[in-house]
Amino acid sequence: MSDLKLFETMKHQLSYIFLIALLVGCASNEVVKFQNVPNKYDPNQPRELTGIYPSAGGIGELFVLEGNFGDSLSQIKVYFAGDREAALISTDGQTIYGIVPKQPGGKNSISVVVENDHLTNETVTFDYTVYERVSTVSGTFRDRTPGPDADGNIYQATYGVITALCVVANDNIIVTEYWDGGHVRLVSTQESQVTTLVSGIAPAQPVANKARDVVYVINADGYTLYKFEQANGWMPTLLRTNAGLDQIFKAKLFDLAMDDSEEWLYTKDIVGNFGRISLTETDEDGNLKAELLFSIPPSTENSQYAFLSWSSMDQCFFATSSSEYGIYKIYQDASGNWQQEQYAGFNRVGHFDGEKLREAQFNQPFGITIGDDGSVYVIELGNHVVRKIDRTTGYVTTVAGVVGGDSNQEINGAPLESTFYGPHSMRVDSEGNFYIAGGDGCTLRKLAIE
Amino acid sequence: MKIKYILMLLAITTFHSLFAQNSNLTVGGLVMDENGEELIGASIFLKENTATGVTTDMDGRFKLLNVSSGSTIIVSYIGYEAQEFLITKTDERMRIVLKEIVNEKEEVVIVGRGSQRKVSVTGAITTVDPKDLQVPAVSVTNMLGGRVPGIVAVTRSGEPGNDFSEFWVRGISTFGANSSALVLIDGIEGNLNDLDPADIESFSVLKDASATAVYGVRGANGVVVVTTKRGKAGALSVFVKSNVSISHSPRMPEYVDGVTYAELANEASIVRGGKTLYSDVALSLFRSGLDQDLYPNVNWRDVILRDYSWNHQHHLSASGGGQNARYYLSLGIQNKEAIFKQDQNVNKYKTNVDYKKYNFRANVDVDLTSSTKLFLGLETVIVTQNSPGYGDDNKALWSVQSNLTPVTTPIIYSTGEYAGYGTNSDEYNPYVLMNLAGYKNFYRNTNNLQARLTQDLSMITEGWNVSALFSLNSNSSLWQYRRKMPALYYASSRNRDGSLNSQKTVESSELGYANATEVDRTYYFEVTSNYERVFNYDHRITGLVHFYTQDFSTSKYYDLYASIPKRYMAVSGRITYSYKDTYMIEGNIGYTGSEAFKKGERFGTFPAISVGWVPTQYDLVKDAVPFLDFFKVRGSLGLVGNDRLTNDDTVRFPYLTTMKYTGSNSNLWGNGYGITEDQVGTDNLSWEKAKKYNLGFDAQFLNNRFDFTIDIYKDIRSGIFQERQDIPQEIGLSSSPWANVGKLKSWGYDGNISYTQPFNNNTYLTVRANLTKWDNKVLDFEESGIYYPYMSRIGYNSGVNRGLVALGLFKDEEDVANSPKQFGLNNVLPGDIKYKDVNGDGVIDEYDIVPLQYGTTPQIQYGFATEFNWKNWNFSIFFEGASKVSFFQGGTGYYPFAWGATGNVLTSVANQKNRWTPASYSQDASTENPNAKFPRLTYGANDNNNRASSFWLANGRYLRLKNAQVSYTLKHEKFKKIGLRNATITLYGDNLWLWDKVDNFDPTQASENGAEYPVQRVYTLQVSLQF
Repeated sequence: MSDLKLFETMKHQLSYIFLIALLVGCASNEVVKFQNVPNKYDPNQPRELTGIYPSAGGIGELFVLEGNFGDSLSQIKVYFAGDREAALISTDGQTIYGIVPKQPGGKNSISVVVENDHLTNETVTFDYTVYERVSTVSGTFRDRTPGPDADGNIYQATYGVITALCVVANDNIIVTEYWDGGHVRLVSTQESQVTTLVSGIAPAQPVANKARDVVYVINADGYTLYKFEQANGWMPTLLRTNAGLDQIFKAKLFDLAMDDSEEWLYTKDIVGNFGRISLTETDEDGNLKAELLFSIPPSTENSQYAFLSWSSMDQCFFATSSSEYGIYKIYQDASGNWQQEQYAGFNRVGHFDGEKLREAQFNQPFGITIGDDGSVYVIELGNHVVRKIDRTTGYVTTVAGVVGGDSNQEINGAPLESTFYGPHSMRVDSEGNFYIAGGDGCTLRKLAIE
Repeated sequence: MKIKYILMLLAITTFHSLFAQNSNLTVGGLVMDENGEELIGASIFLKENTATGVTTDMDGRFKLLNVSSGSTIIVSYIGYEAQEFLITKTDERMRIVLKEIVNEKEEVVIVGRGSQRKVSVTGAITTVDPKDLQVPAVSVTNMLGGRVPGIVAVTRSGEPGNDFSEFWVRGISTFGANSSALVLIDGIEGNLNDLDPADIESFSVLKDASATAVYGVRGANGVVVVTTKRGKAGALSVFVKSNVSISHSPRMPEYVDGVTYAELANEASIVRGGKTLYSDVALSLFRSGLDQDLYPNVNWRDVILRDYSWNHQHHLSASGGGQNARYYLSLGIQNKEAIFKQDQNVNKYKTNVDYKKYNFRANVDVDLTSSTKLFLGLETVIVTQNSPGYGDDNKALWSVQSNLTPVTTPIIYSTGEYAGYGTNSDEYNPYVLMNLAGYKNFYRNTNNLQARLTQDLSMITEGWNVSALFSLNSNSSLWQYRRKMPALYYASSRNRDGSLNSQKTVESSELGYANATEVDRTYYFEVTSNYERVFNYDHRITGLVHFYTQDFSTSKYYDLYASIPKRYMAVSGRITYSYKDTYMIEGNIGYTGSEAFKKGERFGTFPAISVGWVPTQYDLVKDAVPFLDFFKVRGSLGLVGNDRLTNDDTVRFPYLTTMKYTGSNSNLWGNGYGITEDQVGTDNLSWEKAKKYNLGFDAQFLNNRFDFTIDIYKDIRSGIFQERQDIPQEIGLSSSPWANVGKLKSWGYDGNISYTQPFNNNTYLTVRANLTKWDNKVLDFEESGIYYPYMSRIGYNSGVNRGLVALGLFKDEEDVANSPKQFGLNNVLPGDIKYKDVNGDGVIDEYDIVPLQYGTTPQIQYGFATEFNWKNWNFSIFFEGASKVSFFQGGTGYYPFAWGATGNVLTSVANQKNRWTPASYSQDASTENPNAKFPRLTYGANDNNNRASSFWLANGRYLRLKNAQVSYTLKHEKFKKIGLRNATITLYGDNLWLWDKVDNFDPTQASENGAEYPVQRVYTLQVSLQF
């Protein structure tokens, strides 16, 4: 072979080698972002439910059902304990992957509905355990650097004394800081973001409507009333200035509440004046109409810091009276007159779990809210704990916190082992969990009972 | 180009046919040497009839009449290679250039500030055949390790633009700031990485004091002297070299997949009493891929890396000239692309790392008069480098792929949000860093201008010349950043409705622009006076006096002091004398100034002396040892210096005590500014001194087939700069002053041997080997807090790895109970590392840390190569190795689960043989393997196990098949017609195989534990054409 021919042959062979290498190189240039999950549903076999794992657990945990189900998640529904529908995430036809829904404790049945097939299996059950836990949602314990209004990422934002809060749409929270600059701030758990909506208004505790898309805030001292709407990006609009409210209320307001009609805002000042402001009617001056419903001064010399909450089940307000160490029930009697009666406590200061009126002792009950079952939950500033007044048994128990609190650290976890430091208020979210204005701890906390 | 060849061919054939029958041709012209000097008395005669011939006249000219077409003339001259020319036409303007035959004795080597005949060199100088530096490589530095005796080189990264080797002459001989060698290109400080290897004419490494003393305060760490090619008289010679390479990572750390990771994490947690971290559901989800949001299984290396990348490199040079001027021009292009994988569907612009270098060089020699010569050298280097936008370098891409486990996050959530675990650079999403973070671009333009005027002063005294050189080096750099970042989220769980509970971890940022620029320039001026003369045939004397001044100014610093131009000034000289090429003596002296020292103490004198003896010059020896062709003994001793205090260029004028204003303060006495001490100056600060001793032997034997050199050296470095550590705080100094306090001894040897076996024409076999061995010992070191002798740096190698001494793994509870309290961990368990209580105080703590073994720079580097040439074929193979080197395994991606949820786990951990697992977990007693590579797993920090100790100390020695090549040179009559002298086609393989003790990484970068761009394996196809 001549040199030139050899050269040509070599050139050819080498160019093939390089061409192949080039192809290999190019083929590997794709970025696979999702693994392909094949569908394993076998239409020739009957649909069936054969197993679940794990077979025990609590709310929000993940479960996998095994069997032969169907092609698409849109055809499938899974129920625990008869009617508790589980949120489903994906299926490959032979397994269904979803999230354990809230359900009664104990061994519960599981049923899978695929189109017209109802699949159950006696051996496939789920042992549900009720969990309770406390966690910190935002803020650093007693650390307000760089300031009590530093916004930003939910984990980096800092707070002053969080005095009050309410839960709005998507379980986002509006918190207020009465003492540290009068801020109203939106804590978006969904966006992990904290935004100050307005400052310098010395807000009492906000109240949200049932749809949780409108929030009302009143200036605790000057009685100016603001409205915050989700549709408006939670920016405040002025609803009403004082304009005569000081004829009805004589001192500081701590809270607002609404009944089922959502036509009135109810509030009680710290010297015992209970009144309301209409959201629909105006007076002769064009201001939203306001009226005094009763005036019952507290039995003690100290002011009664009054938070209140509406109970749809009992069709009444429950209101705390911090200086009297008790909880009132405020209701409209058959003749339409507003009445106030002692509901729990009023047994001098202390901490004692027992029958609500006869035995139970409270220490500065502050924020109050009504649980899913109608039981009343109370935050105690003095005891640093969360109390529950059971609606059926009438007994008071401590559900979270350690009496006396802890000024050095904030412990999360099991409710009765977790600690609070000067908590101010609490409100319930759409899933029956409680958000807690951590008060002097400068944090926003959550108590989940499920 | 093609048309040109066709025209040339046409012309040649036409003339050929026209004059085919003519027998009355006249040829004439000029005969000269490669420097354009005319050769007087060269003979020109007919090959067919040697009786017909003429000689050149006083001007080197000749004329030969009546030559018949088709005959051949031979042009010859003593000491020069004869040349033949086929005569086909009348040509009276021939320019014939004869090439000098360099015999062994007259061969010159480049030495400090000049050149010397090889035979009379007495210093330790390694010269490298530029031919050996023509392998395709990123940079000349990458070719040094194992090829050049006396050089230790390590490549720590494979990233284009960052894949240059770090090298040291004779290892590390100081623990001070600057341990790297001075590099001079054409006499001026330069950058080897910018140099196109094809432009190299000569390459020398000066190692001992006699060779480096003339460099005074900058020669202590050795000097690399490179000269570039110069034009040679004669016809235009064009050289074209072009290559294309494919490169891939031969070794990548192999990490476990999601399921294995989760199973091992469970083991790590449970075997220490923790809970199950990944439930059966989680394990099944990793397998099935049903929830790739929360239970992903991502191989991050597949996401950001391709299998191959392409590189190419081209070189074109032209040289030629005549009596009056000679030129060498070259153009080089290098284009390297990284193995990163850019998602082609995302950006219109490139985010992949690439490195492009363009070289341009023009070396022109002009004979202004017969005794005055002007040299003009111009070099321009343009470097551009593209890379993804995040960070200042691209290390994050590597650290993140070693840090993010397959289960940490997906690339993108099913919601369309990009995942990001956290805000540390090793917690970002590699896909985002690669594709969605914008890009950055680096541009550098380096210009070198050199003008040298040489005046031959033979008219005053024979052998004397002086030259003056001015050079300007300027660099302009521009960094452009076009960065952005999408918002990144991390989903830790699912909400009750099945939606992801994700938090924003990284805020989005819109595309923004930023830049940085830097400009610097160096003026350099030198005057050299050279003298060389032979008296009475036997006495050869040379002399050199050299003066230079240098001024460097940069825009880099904004500080009042640091922005002051940095200046050097020196005078140096050399005298050599040799008698009959048998006895040689040489004296060198450098008198150098540095601004680092105060006025009056700025200049230092650095003398060196060396002697040589060549016994084979005696007939007696020639007769007694006939096989020995050449033998020389060399010895030198001298002093050189180093003035670099620290790598921080902002530390200047350390002899000055400076004051500064404090900020506005309010105190007892009201508001106002104060004055405070800033830098505490040091009196009597002086250069770091290196006293160097060298003994060398050169030999050639068995008909020069064996060539052997060995140098043994010792280097005492004293006055090494250190900040004082033992000044009590009560003194109240605002900064610790610098002082000449450290002392270090280094020693070693380096040498090479080669053997050439010729068979017949163009067939030969060469075998070469070389070895460099170095070691050092700290003699004095400024340190405090030394409670035990082994805590001191004194008495040990300056880079020795220090750690605890591991005695193995604890066997059982009893073993734990009977042992001293271990490090940091209260409940040490069987399977954890057991340490030696060195100081016997019953507790393992930092006082038990001792020097272990070697450092991360190999103390032995060696290479061997063989080359076989057979006709037009050439085969060569080169092995490179290093030994006496060790490193600590550990860090992210090595210690399993040491950082909990982050940090990849190597597949070797998954192999049960390699890890200690309690039988209570594995139900198998054999898993309590006392020789396991990994101790009992821990999920999270384990202060006892995860720290530097002899347990994790690994041997970094290796032998590498560094290079293999096959080339074929084509010479064809047809080529000649288009002016092509020859064409060579070569196939190279680089870094082809490794024999070592490291599993997952290249041993040279093992201490990075996989968080580094791997050293590449490269296959190259190269074509070179010589016209």
